[in-house]
Amino acid sequence: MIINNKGLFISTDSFVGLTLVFILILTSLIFLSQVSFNSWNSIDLISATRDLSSVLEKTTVLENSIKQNSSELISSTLISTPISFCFEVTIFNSNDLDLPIISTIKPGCVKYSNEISSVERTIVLNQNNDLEFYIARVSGWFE
Amino acid sequence: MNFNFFRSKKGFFFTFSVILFVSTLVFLTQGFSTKNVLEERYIISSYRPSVISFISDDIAFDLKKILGFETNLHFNDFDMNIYLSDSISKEVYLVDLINNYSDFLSEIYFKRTQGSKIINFSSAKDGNYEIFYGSDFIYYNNYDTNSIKFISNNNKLNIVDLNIYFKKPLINYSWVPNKTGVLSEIKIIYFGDYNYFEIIDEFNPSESSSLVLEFDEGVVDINFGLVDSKYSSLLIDSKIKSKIDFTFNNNYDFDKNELPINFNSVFSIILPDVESSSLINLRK
Repeated sequence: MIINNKGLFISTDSFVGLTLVFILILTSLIFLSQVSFNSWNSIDLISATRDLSSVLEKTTVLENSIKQNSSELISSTLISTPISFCFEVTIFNSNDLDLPIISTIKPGCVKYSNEISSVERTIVLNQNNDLEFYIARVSGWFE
Repeated sequence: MNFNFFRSKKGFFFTFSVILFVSTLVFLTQGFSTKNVLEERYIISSYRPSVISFISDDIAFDLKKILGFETNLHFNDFDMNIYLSDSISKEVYLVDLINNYSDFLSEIYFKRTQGSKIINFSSAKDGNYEIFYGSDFIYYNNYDTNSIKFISNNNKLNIVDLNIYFKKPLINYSWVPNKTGVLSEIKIIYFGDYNYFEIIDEFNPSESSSLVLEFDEGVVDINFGLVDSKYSSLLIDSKIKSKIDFTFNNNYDFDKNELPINFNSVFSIILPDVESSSLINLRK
């Protein structure tokens, strides 16, 4: 009887051990297959920020904002961006890159995030062949 | 029966199970970590070159505004339309504008972004700038001699649609088409503050046909068809100093999948894992 008990313990011990290992492997595989990478979120953010800066320039929103010295046009464009994204647009004259001439944040957003993506785009104003250069910085983060 | 042997065997199995459990945990964690790091590195390094097209697109848009041209191309399986809008006698010294822009990029913009970047506008400052439509077409704007050429490389021209605008009075014009052989359609609209005329006709794109516009300041010669021994091409040669705006929308046969539009200036960039040197792409 004593010998049988020992055999029972040994079998139970190995069964529990192997079951635990099997469960662990299975759980790990499930976890590994479902993992999502932070890089994809970062790339989504960079892409959205770049796209917005291109759209703002090519639809002449940035140029007209500079000419009117107003951020209203930019704000109205930012409102139409996806709800999960927040953006800030800041424009600098190339003669003074410390002091922005225009700065605005998407209405309803607060600039607070662990991850902020920023891109800069050049703006050229050609007024009767007199060139003026500006830099527009577009920063984006998830709401 | 040696009961101590079984007692020690039970301990052995228990210890073995724990070691197996822990080592599996360690290996899986390590594997996950390595896989994660490699994937993240791959994703980021794969995305890094996209900055090239972003900056190139930015420069392309600026160049269009500085030089005052616009171009595009639409195609299907059978034909394509090449649109180009530009001017002759731009009434400004373009080299100065290009130099100012180049300085702004090199001295300010490029220094604020990651990596090493160089823009070389030397080929646009030698008296003319060029736009390449793949290897099929080349557009030259010679701002030193006030002429433009749109040279086709063995493409079949179907329709020419040319609009010309000039603010001063037109004295006279003469249209001399060559109507021998296989003909293409042509539509020319001239409009200004004082005059307007329209020509709808046919011409042979393998031979030279001409339109001459006479103004007080001088004449403007426009040749359709054979230019520099290349057929299906276009030449506008202005002998006047005032600015002339024009657009054309030419239809050609097409049998390719794509035709990139590049401005003849080189943009070079060096980033970690990325080294690129390419012409400015105008088509997005």
